[in-house]
Amino acid sequence: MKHINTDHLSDWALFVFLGGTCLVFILFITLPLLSVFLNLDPNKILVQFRNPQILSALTVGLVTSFSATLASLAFGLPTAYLLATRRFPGKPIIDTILDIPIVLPPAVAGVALLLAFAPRGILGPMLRELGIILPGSTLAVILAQLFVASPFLLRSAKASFEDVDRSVIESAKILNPSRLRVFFTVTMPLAAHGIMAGTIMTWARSMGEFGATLMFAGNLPGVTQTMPLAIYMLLAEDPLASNVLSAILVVVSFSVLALFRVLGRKRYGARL
Amino acid sequence: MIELKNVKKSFGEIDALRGVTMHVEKHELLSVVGPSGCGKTTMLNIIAGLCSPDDGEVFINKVLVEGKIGRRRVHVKPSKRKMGYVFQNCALFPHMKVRDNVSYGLKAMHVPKREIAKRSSTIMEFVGLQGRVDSYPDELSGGEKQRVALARSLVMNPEVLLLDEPMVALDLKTRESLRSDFRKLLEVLKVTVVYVTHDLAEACALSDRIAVMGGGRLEQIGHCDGILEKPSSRFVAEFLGLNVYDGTIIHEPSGQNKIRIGDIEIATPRLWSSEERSVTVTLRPEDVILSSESEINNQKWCGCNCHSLEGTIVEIVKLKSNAKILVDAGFPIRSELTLSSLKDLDLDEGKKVYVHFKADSLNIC
Repeated sequence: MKHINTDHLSDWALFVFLGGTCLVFILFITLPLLSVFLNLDPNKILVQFRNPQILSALTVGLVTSFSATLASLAFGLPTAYLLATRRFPGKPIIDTILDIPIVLPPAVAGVALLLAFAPRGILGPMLRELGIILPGSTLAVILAQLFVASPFLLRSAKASFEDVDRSVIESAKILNPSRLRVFFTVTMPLAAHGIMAGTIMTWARSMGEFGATLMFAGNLPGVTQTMPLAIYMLLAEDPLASNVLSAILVVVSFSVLALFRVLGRKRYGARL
Repeated sequence: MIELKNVKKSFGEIDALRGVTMHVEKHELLSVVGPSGCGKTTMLNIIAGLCSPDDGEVFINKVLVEGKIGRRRVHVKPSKRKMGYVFQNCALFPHMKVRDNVSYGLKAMHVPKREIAKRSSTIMEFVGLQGRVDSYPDELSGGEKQRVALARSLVMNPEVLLLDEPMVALDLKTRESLRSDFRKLLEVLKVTVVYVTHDLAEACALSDRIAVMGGGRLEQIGHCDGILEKPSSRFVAEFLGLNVYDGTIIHEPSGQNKIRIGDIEIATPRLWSSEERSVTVTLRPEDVILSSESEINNQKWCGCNCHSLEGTIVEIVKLKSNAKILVDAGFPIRSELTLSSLKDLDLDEGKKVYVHFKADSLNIC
């Protein structure tokens, strides 16, 4: 009787199963992404770049996402450093609270922002007295993006600060009398890759923010309408414009992830 | 000169230092030995100013750097203590080249550029780093990293140098070569050195004196030979790897003294006590010799009061140049032999053997 190698067969079966599953999954992800580009006519794309609604959505999207990223850096870096380097009562609770926006549905984030900052919200009357009415303003878009995206920077920066070898900082303190210079010459350069990666993720998340922005800031072209909102609005009235904006966001997302991977791999020394 | 007075430090419920008082002379090389977690590194960090003691005082060159003046707490910043610190893991700046690592402290102190270049290149040549100045730390070997760490400290002309197990991660060959270089460098430089290690042989090879720490206390401080010959406590004796026994001194009416260990009584000529009392007895493994005969034919041993006990070899552990032999002679006795002696005596586990030692090799603590 012919001997059948069952080990060999089961190896093949496993390979076919894993390969098949992987292929289906890859197709599921890539097909929609590719379809964004397949319908595009290069000649018509250039025309769309003169479409005022697309241009204003791009402008609002870039201005607000960069502003939100800068604000995330301004508030997130000191907070991340504090959480990474100090022990104090209630730290785990603060840590958890600052993580909530990552898992919170964007619509809930929008409602929460309205209840806090809208004219009838907790701080609404105070803001109105100062002449600030947030809903319907570009500032509201920035706040919505800051709320939803800043935890990405916070997480990444905190992990990076924690990863810096304590003895390296201590050896710098022995050699350098200025704490600030130790921070900028040793701590920051060593945490820079993680901070950079977190910054990119925060910016990308800000660019793609939809739910919280729509709920809190509204959808006013040229003021609060960002790219995802414009894509949604244009889908019915001008599908090609919607397609072009989608393609831009896909390219941006891919570039951001590629940059993220490159930065994640970089280390010191000759490989830098 | 470094002086610690009753220094205490706790981390939560763990007492890392329980009142350490110690004095290191100017230009002395003191090694601090002890098992892991005994407080060696905490003590070094307190001397360096990287953490403050809960109580006690630290003086460097007679200047109070940690402690209290009246109600005012004194803590001199690490960078103001004129000391270098070589960490166990080197703690080099991974994003800087060797030359930038070495010159970091000088730049921080705003030393003129020309002087930085001169001092850095001199010290790098001094520690044998020529040709590696443009390398990054992760391109260096373990020994080279330690040299960079040493150069980075020495370039600041420190009065005190703290070394925290700098050779623990190195292979034996590099370790031996670096140890020899370290000793030569430190002799030339004339700095006060506190060298933390858990390797007793390394401590004895490098130091003027050694301090043995255990459980956050300074157990004993002195010259290596003195500590090996007369450990002050059971802890020190066990840490040094000596034979340690609970014994009783018996003073017989005839005037003869004996030590009882288990069921065995050993005559001792030295009058240690005029009354019966419990003691800890220590015996160095190097002072125990083994033979297949009950009498020993060695001229050095003639006329001395020596003891021979019959026992069985329980365990033989062969090391690089010697062997550690555990014999059951009514109580366990460890002996150390050279590998050639082990071969000549044809010893093996389970074999009967005679254990010999001089009565005055026994020490009580």
